Amino acid sequence: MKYFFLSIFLLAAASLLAQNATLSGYVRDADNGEELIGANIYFPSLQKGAVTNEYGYYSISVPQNTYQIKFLFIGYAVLDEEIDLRSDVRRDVELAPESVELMEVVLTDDRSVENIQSIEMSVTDLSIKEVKKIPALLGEADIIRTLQLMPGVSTVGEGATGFNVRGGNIDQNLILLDEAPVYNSSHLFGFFSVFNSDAVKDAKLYKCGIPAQYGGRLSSVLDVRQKEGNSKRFAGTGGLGLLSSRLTLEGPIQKDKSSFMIAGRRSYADLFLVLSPDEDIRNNTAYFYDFNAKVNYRFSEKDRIFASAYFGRDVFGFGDLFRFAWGNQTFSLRWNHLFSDRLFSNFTFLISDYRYQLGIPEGAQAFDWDSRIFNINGKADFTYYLNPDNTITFGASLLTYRFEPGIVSPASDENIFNEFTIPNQYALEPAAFISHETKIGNRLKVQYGARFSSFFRQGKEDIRIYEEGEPRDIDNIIDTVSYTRGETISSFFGFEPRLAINYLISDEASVKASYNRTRQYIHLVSNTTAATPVDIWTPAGPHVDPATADQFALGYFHNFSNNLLEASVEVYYKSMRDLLDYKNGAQLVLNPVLETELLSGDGRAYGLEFFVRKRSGRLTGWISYTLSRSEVIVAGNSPEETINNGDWYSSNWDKTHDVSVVATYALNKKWDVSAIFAFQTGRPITYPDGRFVQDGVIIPVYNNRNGARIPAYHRLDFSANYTPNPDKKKGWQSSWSFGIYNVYGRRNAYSIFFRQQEDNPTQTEAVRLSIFGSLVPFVTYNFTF
Amino acid sequence: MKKLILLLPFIWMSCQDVIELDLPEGDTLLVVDGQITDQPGTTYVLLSESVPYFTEEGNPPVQGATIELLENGAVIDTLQEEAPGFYTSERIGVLSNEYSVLITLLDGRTYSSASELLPRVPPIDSLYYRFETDLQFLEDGYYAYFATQELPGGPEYYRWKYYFNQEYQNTPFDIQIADDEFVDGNYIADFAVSFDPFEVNDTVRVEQLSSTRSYYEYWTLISTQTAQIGGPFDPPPAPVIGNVKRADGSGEVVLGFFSAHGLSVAETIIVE
Repeated sequence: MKYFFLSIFLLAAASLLAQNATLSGYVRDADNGEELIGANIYFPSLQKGAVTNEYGYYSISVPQNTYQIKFLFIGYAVLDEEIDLRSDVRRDVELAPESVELMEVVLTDDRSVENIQSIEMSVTDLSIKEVKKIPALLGEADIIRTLQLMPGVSTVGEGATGFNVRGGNIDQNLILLDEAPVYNSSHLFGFFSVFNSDAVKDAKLYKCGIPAQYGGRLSSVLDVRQKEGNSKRFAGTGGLGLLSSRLTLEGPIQKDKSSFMIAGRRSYADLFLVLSPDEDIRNNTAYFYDFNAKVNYRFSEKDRIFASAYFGRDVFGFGDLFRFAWGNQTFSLRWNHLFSDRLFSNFTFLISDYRYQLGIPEGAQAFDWDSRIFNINGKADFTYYLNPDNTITFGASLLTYRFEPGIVSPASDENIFNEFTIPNQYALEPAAFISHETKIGNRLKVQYGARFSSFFRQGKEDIRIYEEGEPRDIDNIIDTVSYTRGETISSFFGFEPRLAINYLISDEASVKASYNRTRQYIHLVSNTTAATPVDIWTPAGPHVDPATADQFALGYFHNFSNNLLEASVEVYYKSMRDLLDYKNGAQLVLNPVLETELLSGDGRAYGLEFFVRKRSGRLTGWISYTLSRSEVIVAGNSPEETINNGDWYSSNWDKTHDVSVVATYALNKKWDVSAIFAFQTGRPITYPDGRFVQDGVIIPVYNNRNGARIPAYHRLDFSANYTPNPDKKKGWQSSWSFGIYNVYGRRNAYSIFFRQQEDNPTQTEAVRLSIFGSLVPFVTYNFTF
Repeated sequence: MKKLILLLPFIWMSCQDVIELDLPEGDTLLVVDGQITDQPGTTYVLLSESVPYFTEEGNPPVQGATIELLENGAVIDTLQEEAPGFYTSERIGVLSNEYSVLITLLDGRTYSSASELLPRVPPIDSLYYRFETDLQFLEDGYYAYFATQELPGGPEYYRWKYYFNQEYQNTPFDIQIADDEFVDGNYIADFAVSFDPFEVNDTVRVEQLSSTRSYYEYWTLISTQTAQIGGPFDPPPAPVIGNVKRADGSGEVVLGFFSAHGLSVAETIIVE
């Protein structure tokens, strides 16, 4: 550690002595003024370059001279410019988007190739344009469903909430929307994500080599950034689909100074219910909506503020019998400040609020159940662009949590229920990080750093003490300790080293390696095949340890045909400790002594990922193949605290083979066609090896959890996109998407379960449940103006 | 009802097919199914063996066993084998006493159940019916309800069994258990007996049983493992282990439960 700070100091000193000049600024889209994330600034004569950060800012210090400089971004025309750098220059540039035909020319240009040069590995960058072209369930372009077609990302099954990254559970993904954590990324249980693709600018998934600035989850970071809003002119984007309609409006408030973006989306399956002649059906409700808003204001060359908000809800009602709603709400306020052209800073204040409500609205059994996680977070991040070979990032954050697991209140007077509350839980999560990216010679790049995380569980809370050496059971409670408000109940400290290395073999090939340790202080408590929106989160504390993961990854990256084809192979190994598991038959809902149902286990996951992608030309798309294994071990002190005799067993999302092929072909300016093929090994499932009878009920005997697998999953989707007037640049432009999901109508098994036959209860049968029993067609009308 | 709601979006296009499947065959295990209550003629033990999951015949009975009934740890009776594998006793349970059985098979292996407390049970206050015409999602017709005064403090756990025209309703979806956590000491009214309407002249019998926490947890597990299955929001399959163990501590897996209950009964006939 001493050496680390010393080396940074020496570097800083060295750079001050040299006669350098700094080129800095923003790279933007010429059409709408949006900042471009990950654009390249390249000095061919020096063979050095810089990349724009998440806010579109770049800074590079080079010996004083006049340079020919290229500004590059995929899908945009190259900007070649001579800049006199005998003194510091601030240069904001705008790149013009390219049409399909021209893009092929661009690629023959020699340039710094981001996927080969960058220190990043195990990262998936999604282009929203690509997401919108490929076939989607019911025509809803969806970021998370598209991510599931990428290597190392999978799901338990169709319609399951969330996604699994490299053998990790769904709660191990840090999902950020404009830096605010999102606790439930799904609408309609798990069919669609909460991200309206019209409102999103960029989505990036880190699977390993997670930069030190991110922390709090074991397996991945999904960083989603909303659009800033067109700063050139007023514009709109929208669409009408079978499931939902959406509209985004954006435009300048003061030209090139401030802009806004608002977006709304609502599903309307329930609007058709009103047409039903059956009153019972008319009384049902089932819809979701979300609302995104963002404004930004540049109040000087050096300062810019952004305020963004997201509000989403899912609402289901079953007449007066039942209602059910959940949703995320986030607000973030950010201030970008340039202390100098080389020191970029961002200060963030954010609020994240996840709530769900469940209840019976009327009658003697009427009740309301309200549950919530509330976060307030403040953080400061700094990037210091020392010289082209050295960049230092550092910062600190403080996250506060309030968990409200549940308040059940009777909703009417003549009620059979008593009011019931599970006490709130409070916690603080302070963290600090530092990271240094350095280039050693022309071929080696290293990024090393660390995150220092901590977690303080605080009162007011009563903590139960269990007899030592006995299973945690309410019969073994020996004492209860009361903590006052703000009093520390338990504290945890974590040191999370992060490392990434890139060795350039040639201009077209590199070898990368990375390691990260990650710590997770909150857990999703879910014992179902797919998580439900009512699943609660529980913080680490006296009865639950924080989870820790170590991951190593090694990759080989090679581009072919003048960088037209990007290919990579990666292997990884991840070990996880202190994961949550559950006793057999655990009751997790509204349980005031939840810790009595929890078990602790370890996990391991390893695999090989193969990826080829073509991002430009008439044919674009990718092929992804993952060979992997994900296993869990739960070996407690007693049989009740042990699963599968304490042996390793497959996790619910362990899929040995996972193949996706995605292709889009532009037939001409008006038409393009797209197809997806997906194949996955069936997920693990438990088969009975016998049966017995209790009081007339036939009960399967299960001994070997996840010892069998459901049949393999495969599916083909197809879509065609039609743009009637592709050359029209101004005014109303429209396009149509038509397609079919699950073209050959395969009844993929979601699960196989075992039951007594309905008409002959003495006999038993196996039943396959398919979420989609047939093909699903769709049509969507999209427009921009 | 909760299950219906959770499945709502899936009803849309999902489908279920009965399929052929080869399943592993595990060891043959001893199965105990027995109870004692505070009412006469309700004490029995049914002994059988587990069978492979797809077996057309039922579970074979285990005959010739010696089953002793224990009250507060002392043997008070030996059960008589009334039919193959079906053993009964005339003894009646007494409130607040603890009961268990000791089973010795013909080959000398012995098994014992954990001691179960017999908790008090409130009477069923009334069992009544109404002709309903305005129920959401349900057909018009006669629906039966019962009311009971929940007792503050204890019992904490309940099970209800229903007999329609003397036929015991014992499919997995008929398992009705509850704890009093949210209703402790409250008057429980309009507790629906069935979501299917009754016909005139139907006989409805309701048995209200108090039970222990271990029995409640055991039947909660049976209910989730047989009625809440296969769907995305259902719990994973789990072993259903009761309160019977091999007496020599060998760790042999034994299935089943011997339980103790307070029992109250109400019966009515639907009249026009």
